[in-house]
Amino acid sequence: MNALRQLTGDVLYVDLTERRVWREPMDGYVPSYIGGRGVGARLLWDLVRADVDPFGADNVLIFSPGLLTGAGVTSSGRTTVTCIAPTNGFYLKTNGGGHFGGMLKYAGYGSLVVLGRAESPVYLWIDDERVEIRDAKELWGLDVRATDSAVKAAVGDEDAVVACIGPAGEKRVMFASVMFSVYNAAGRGGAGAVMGAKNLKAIAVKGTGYIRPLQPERFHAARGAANYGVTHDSGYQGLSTYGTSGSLAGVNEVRALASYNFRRSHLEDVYPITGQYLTASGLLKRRVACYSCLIGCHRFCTVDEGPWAGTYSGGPEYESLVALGSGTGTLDTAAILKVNETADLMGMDTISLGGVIQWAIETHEKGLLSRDDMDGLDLRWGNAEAIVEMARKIGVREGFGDLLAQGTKRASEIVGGDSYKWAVQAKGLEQSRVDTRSAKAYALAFAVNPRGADHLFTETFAEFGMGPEARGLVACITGDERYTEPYCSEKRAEIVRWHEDCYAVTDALGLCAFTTTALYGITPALMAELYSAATGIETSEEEIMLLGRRIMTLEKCINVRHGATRADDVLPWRLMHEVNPDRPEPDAVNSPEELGRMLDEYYDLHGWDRATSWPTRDTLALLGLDDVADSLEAAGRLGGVPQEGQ
Amino acid sequence: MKVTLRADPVGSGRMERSELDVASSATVAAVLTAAGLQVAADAGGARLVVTVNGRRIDRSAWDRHQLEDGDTVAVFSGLTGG
Repeated sequence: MNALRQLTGDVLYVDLTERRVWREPMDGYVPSYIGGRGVGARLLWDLVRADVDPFGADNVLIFSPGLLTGAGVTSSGRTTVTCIAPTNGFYLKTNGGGHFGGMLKYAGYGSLVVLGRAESPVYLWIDDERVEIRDAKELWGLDVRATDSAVKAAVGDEDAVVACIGPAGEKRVMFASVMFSVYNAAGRGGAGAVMGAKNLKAIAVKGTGYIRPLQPERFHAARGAANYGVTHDSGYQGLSTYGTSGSLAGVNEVRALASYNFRRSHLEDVYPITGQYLTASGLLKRRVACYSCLIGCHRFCTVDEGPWAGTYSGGPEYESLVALGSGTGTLDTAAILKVNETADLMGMDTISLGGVIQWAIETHEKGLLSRDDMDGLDLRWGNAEAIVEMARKIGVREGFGDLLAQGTKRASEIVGGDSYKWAVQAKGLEQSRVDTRSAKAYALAFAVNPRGADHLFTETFAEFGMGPEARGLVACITGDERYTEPYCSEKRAEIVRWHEDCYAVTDALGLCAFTTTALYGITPALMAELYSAATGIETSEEEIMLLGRRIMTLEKCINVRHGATRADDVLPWRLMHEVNPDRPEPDAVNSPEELGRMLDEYYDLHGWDRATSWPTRDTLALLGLDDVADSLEAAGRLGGVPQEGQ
Repeated sequence: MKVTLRADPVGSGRMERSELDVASSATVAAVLTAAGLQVAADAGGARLVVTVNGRRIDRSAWDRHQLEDGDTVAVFSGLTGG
């Protein structure tokens, strides 16, 4: 085996229909797609057709740890899960931490591709080179925690790492997560439902190999620089000590805290849902680190007294605390932890769960849903008990929960009336809990995100200017630090495109985005150095950012092939038509005119066609995606080519 | 004139609210001094953030940004997350 192939691992194919397993080299993908998310995107492009049924046997489910996962770089344990999303039929990448990716690499695999559909529930047991498809009838119906324990017992190895789905994935809840090691979610977009549709309950993996960079001494030095850079960023201490929710009070002050279904962006007191409160109150029992991470931002909390005593779970993170807390009008921290635990056990994305519950509360408030419609639940702002019960019912699709399990977009289409106006989703994905009316780079990034309105494709936290590194980065991108201004819509295209490139490289290497776009300790130059030293392929900062752009452009092309147009690059109706009520400025809205202008600038910057948003042949050729251009042209979906009627 | 101050310069997560009487057209810097926060601002490092009615005021503008009656000034440590 050549040295690069040893580094990258192979692609492991598992065909559940044919019950067949084989492996193929992956090292050929590395020069063009790096690894992780990049390889996942290329495999998805190659393996699915435009008419794929997200819940059919023809969809694929790809697990891709990053190129550096397993090589001991800080925060490099991320795994990307790729498939066609059930929410919208578009490209989906969702990404999780924990230890699954590292173990898959140690077993010798850089990607796991699940094809077909099993006739009855199964789980995979990957024990280095031995791969088995095993019966999982006994596991079906178990929650995530019980599944993890049962699978480890079944394989007879407590050190095995388990990825699995809960009841929500089995029942195809549209925002079901894939859960790693119980508490780390690849949460967004419904990959768990795709896994459930394949009758795949779990994947257990145990690896005993190792990862050897091609230039060990150079790699060791670069790894040291990464560790130093992350731990010496001015934001490191706060993120490590308080986790993601340490920033919550600050987001509230800049009027971007999405509360009461985005009807408020600022509340008088949010202390009970901050990371600082979790620590001070004793709810936080320990900080948790993913594989090879020096930050340790993940949390583990328990509730020891009161009506929710006995609750314990990973997290909650910023997004969960806002989606399930201020979003639903409750600052009852223990109750929020209970809903968070329910989401983890059922295997559901907390952002979408909170979003759809908020939509239901407002829909009831406005008279389009009666209490009878909601199984008698008194679902209103701040009623924690009803919200806890609602979460459970959604997870098992019981009664009214069956409607909400379809997600905000479909639920609002079924209920009708004006309820689409407060269905805070785009491309069928509930928006992350940042009020984009107070963050214009986020607004653009959310609108163009292939999977829908969220921050995990392009994290433009720098525009808030919370630290000197962020302000320096914005100055570097735009030429002037004054563009560190989230209310400003100028230069947002430049900021977004830089972050897209950077984020794609980050995911492809398997790094946590917190090291590159929340903290800034690992720069693109350092990522290029890590890549070069690991692979022996000499690559500059500019070249690796271009690889990032190739990845995200290919992802865009998957959507184009599957029917996406400019009309899909929008934000939720509320954010485009209602002014942020907690800001004095009349332009505190993501108006169609403003978003349209930012989109024009963004498409121009990318070399995409303004009218359709489709990449042109020249752009694709520049990125080495000529075969993709050929395919899109054959389908009549290449940008810059006059369409019928034009 | 009156301004509202919301302050958490040490990143405790708890914003302490107070009402201040300040001179007409007082600057952000003047309010920080009046509230005893200038020292924290000077020593607190580069992550101290000041907003007026939600809008971040760059440190270089603290001594010239004039406040208006009813403004809300927030002073906090800009922690990161996502």
